[in-house]
Amino acid sequence: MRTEIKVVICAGTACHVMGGSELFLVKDRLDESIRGLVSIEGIPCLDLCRRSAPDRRPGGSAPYALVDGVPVERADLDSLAAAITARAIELEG
Amino acid sequence: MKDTFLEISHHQTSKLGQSAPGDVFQSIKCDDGRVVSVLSDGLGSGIKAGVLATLTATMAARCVAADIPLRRVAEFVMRSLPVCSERKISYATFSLIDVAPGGRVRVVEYDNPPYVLLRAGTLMEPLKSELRLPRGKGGAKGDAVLRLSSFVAKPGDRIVLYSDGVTQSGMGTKSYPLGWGDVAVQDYVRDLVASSTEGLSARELAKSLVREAVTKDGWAPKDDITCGVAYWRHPRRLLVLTGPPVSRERDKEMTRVFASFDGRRVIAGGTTANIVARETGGKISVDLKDLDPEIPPSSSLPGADLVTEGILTLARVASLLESDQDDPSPRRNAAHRLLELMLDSDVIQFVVGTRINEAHQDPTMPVELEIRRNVVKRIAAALEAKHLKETRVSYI
Ligand code: FES
Repeated sequence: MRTEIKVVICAGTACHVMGGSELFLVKDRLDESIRGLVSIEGIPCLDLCRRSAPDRRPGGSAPYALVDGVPVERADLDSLAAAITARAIELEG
Repeated sequence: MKDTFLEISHHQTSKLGQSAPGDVFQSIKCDDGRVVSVLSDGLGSGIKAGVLATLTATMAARCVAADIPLRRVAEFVMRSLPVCSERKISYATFSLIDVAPGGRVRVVEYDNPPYVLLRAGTLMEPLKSELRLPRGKGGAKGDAVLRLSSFVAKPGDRIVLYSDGVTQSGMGTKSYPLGWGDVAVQDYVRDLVASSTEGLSARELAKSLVREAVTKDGWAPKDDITCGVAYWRHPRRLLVLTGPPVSRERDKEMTRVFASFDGRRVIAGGTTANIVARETGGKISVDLKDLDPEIPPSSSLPGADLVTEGILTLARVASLLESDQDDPSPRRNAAHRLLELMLDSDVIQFVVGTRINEAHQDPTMPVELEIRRNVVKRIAAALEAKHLKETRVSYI
């Protein structure tokens, strides 16, 4: 079993403006059994903000984070925690 | 003077309990390249003193900047200054330095502690001539005595001006019954400069002197304490790279500008940082200790002194520069760190990338470019006007 889930959170302009700064606190939202498996990293820009969203909202679907390389769009604390939890269960099984 | 930069900076603190300082330090850069700085100390403290000091400093600086002969300026200022009816002394004292581009310096002093000229680690004693003028309105007794001196500055010279809040600090305490005193302050300045390994900047020197005086006053300043410093130093250069270049073909060129720059380097912008990292093979890591609710965290990248987010951080730097208040918040976010680097430099070069968008479909991008250009212009203008820095802006 893998022991680490790598979470990369975008600290770029678009993601920050769309509320991404709170994502750095995601560990607090995780179940204790998972918390220890998660490593959090920042990145200056995931370059996903340059894509346009279906509704042409500026900044694409920011804020973005990656959970083991898979993008989470319009992330907030709940949806990011859910994505990490889902990944943990996937690795477990 | 070739390859020297005149750094002028000041620091001050108000008398305990006063919200506004009664001392003023002001500098003007004239069109002919001269720089005029004035330190004025209004009688007493608080708003009234501050207004008088501002009046004096502004009047003196503008007149000198307008090339009116010093004697006339002095007469004019003396005549306009009101005199305290009880104490028969002028409401504001001043020291003025007028620096020509070639390094010729003229100094006029009126009732402030004598200025310090420090050259190659030695306290110099410039010859001073006296100019006696009748005092202003209000029937003050005796003439006012102004002291004039002039010399040609050499690279590495420092001029230090300070208000009597510095020399009188500690007065009444056991260790300094008569205050810190002229001679001791001069020795302190000399020793401080001698003991700093790297050339102590004007800014640091002014700060240290004020801090020392505040300490002598038992951290409760009994008067306004102000220090202004002029320092002819080898220029410190700072490069600020912001925004991706107009086309991908120029990514390499931008990276070359970055890598070959002789001085400190900052990248302000995520995409810009990604480009430089890709081209140089360096790894960026975001500093998660630096979290701040308003400004995105800074990062580190080999070869860069600081990597920050772009627009938001630059906009904050611009507003910090434009506001006259010192930012009271103890927080040190990426914008504060960037500002600190700018203030610690003499020549600041901005390279602004002008790529509009990648996919030609995002309608927000031209706006972003406009914002970036404008905010850089604002920062450059404030650095020039308020901090007498030299700035250059180029586009790539
Ligand atoms: S700012 Fe987050 S992907 Fe660009």
